[in-house]
Formats: sequence, C-alpha cells, structure tokens
Amino acid sequence: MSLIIRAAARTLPAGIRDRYREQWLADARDATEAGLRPASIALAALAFAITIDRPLPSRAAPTAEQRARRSRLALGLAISAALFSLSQYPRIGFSGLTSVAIWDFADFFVSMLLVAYAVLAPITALVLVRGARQRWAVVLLALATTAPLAAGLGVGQSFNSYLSGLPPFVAAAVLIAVACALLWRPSGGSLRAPILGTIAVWAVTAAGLIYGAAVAWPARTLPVYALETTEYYAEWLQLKLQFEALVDQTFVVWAIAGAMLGILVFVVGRLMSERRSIALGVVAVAISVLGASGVLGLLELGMSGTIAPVLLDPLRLIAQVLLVAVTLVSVGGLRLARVGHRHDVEGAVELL
Amino acid sequence: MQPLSRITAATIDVLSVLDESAMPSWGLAIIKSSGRPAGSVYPILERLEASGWVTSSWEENDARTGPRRRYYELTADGATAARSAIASFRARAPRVVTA
Repeated sequence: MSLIIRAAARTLPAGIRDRYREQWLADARDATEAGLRPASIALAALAFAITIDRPLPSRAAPTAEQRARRSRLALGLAISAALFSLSQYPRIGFSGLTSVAIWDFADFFVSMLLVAYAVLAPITALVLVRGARQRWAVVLLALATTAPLAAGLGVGQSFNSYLSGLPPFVAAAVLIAVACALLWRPSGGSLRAPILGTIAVWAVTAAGLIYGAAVAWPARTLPVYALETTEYYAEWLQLKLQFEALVDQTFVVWAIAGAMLGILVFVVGRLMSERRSIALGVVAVAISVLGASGVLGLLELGMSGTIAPVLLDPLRLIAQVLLVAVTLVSVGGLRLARVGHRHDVEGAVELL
Repeated sequence: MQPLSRITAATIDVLSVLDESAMPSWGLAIIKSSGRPAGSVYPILERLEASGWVTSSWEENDARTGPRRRYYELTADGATAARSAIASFRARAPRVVTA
C-alpha cells in the first residue's frame, strides 16, 4: 500500500505532494482502526492523483533564463547522444568473444533503451535549442549520432568489420569536435581543470598502451620454429597472425580514442565552470580506465584464454550509461537535488 | 472564500459531517461518517479547502509516531455557506413519502 500511495503522491503538483503523501500514509496505517480497508485508501490516492485539477501550463513567453536553460538541456541531450553513438564502435564485434545468456538479455534491454535515447535525444534537442550557433552544433551532433547506423551499413562488406566500420566513427568524432568548437566561447574560467583532465586522460591511455604493448608484443617472439611444420602449425600460425593484426588495430583505435577524449575534455571543459570541468575530467578518466580494462581483457583472451572478456560488455555499458548521465548533468544542467527542499537537500550530492 | 462550481450529493454529505462535528474531523472519520468512498471524499475535501470552505491541520499527538493524521473543519464563512447549501439541497431533493 505504501508503495502505491508514494507513487500516487509523486505525481501530484509539488505544492501538495508532501502533505498528501503523509496524510494518505497515516490514513492507510489507521484505516483498520476506522473500519476501512487500507487498500481503499491506496485506490483513493490513485484516483485522487489521476483526477485532481492541475494548473494549466503557463502560456506566457519563456523568459531569457528559461530559454538558456532549455538550450543547455538541448546541448546536453545532443552531446550525450553523439558520445553514446561514438562509444558504440567497440560493439562492432569480432568472432570469438564469449557471452553469458542472462547478461545478453540485460545487455539487449539496456542497449535498446540507450538506442531509443540516441534517436529521441537529438530530435528533442533540435526542438529545444535556441541560437543559430547552438542549432548548427546540435545538427552536427545529430549527424554524429547516426555513426552506428552508417557503420552498420558498411559492416559485413569486408573481411575486417573493424576497419570497414571505422570511417563513420572517425567522421562522428570530427563532427563532435566541430560542434564543440562552434559552442566554444571564452568563459574566462580557469584552464587548469580542463588541462589537468586532458593530461590525466592521455596519461591513462598512454599507460594502458605501454602496458598492453608489454603484454602483447613479447608473445610475438615465441619460437614458432620449434613447432613441426604440420597442418596444425599452419592453422595456429594463421590464428596467431589474425590475432596480432587485431591487436595492432585495437592499439591504433585505442590511441585515437584516448587522444580524442583528451581533446574533448579540454574543448568542452573550457565551456564549463571549474566544478563541472573537474567532473567531466573525472568521468573521462574513468572511461579511459574502463576502456583500458576492456582492451587488456581482450588481449588476455588471446594470451591466456581467461574469462576476462566476459567483463567487457558490462564495463562498456556502465561507461555508456555514465557517459550519458554525466553529460546531461554537467552540460545539460540537470540537477540531481532541488535546492530549498528539506528532504532533498539533506545528504544530497550537489554536482552543479 | 469562493462559491463552489457544483455541489453534488456527496459534497452535501461531507459538508453535513463537518457541520455536525464540533471538533476538527479526521479525514477517515469523514469518510466513515459520510458513507462515501474515500475516492470521492478526498477530492471533495481538496475542492472545499481550495475554495476556502474548509481548513485543515495536522494532528498534534506526540504519542503517535510516523505520518500524521490530517484534520478538517469548516471555516467561519464555510460553515455559513455549508448550512445554506445543505438546506438548499435538501429543499430541492425529492421527498420520500413513507406510510
């Protein structure tokens, strides 16, 4: 009953929400004492929430502050959708990754939600955005969001789907960079946070690359001559060469992605306040670490056949959800806590 | 205080309960006494309160913990209007003739 009442109260206008929540909870608790069924109170709460007269939305023209807020939200939606689409590149996939059935379902479900978001967010952004430059930036970001679709048309056309799918993602990265450049304006803020964030991202990427190289390259010096020249040797050699080629491609993509992420932290970070810039840098570093974990897991699959790659998809999905959420908060201006409300302020984390 | 846009039989029942009570009435007691379902009484009380006919307050009972009960009572103007509305409604209502 409590859950139904809380849900019903949640839909009420803010001014009366807390009052009716408490009143209905008390009534449901004491209904038996009054000779009534607690369920009737819960149903009444639902009926009340559905039928209550609500104030009509204001027809007045939005204020300058409201327009600016909507525009920020539009940019947050567009950038998060474009970055999500860019992060879809690792999903192109190659044969040989292990999978878990339950995880596959969860992956499918969450991925479908994110894909729906990537379709709806740019459309919403185009409706909300104000200002010529911002509109152009949103258009470019919307185009960047279509990268997975474009790559999907190209994947399967060649032996190496990673290479055939790469150009749309590179184009998307360029479009995002151009959009960020369009949005750039001297903020007068400190450059310290964006620069430190960029350096941190590049450092993590470089450390991962060096470590990965230290793990991967010695394997190439295996004394292959020790094996007999048999059919098994030919198959083994072919697999080894394929894997080495894949490692090389992964390293290239890894380096490009890390470099672009660092640039993104700098370009976008300059548009933000110092606190948001720090938040962006932290998230970018987290994504770099997750990416490094994923690639190292991939290498480990080829090296020792561990189950580390099972972690790749969860890590990737967590990073994508985090990416969308933090972009919406830091760029879109969404607030996690509503200042001025007693219950929300207590213990709430202020990200803005 | 604003006049009500419509006064239904259920509204009259709620007003009657409030008018007959000398003390502020607990919401559930109004439901019980009026014989109307909670889904009808809550919106009526909300409408009466929004129109200034009724005022409500939280219970002051330190012995009871957890969420507080809400008590309703007619305002001074609301009491006058309620009695008038009840009388007017009963005058218009069809009379039941018993043997």
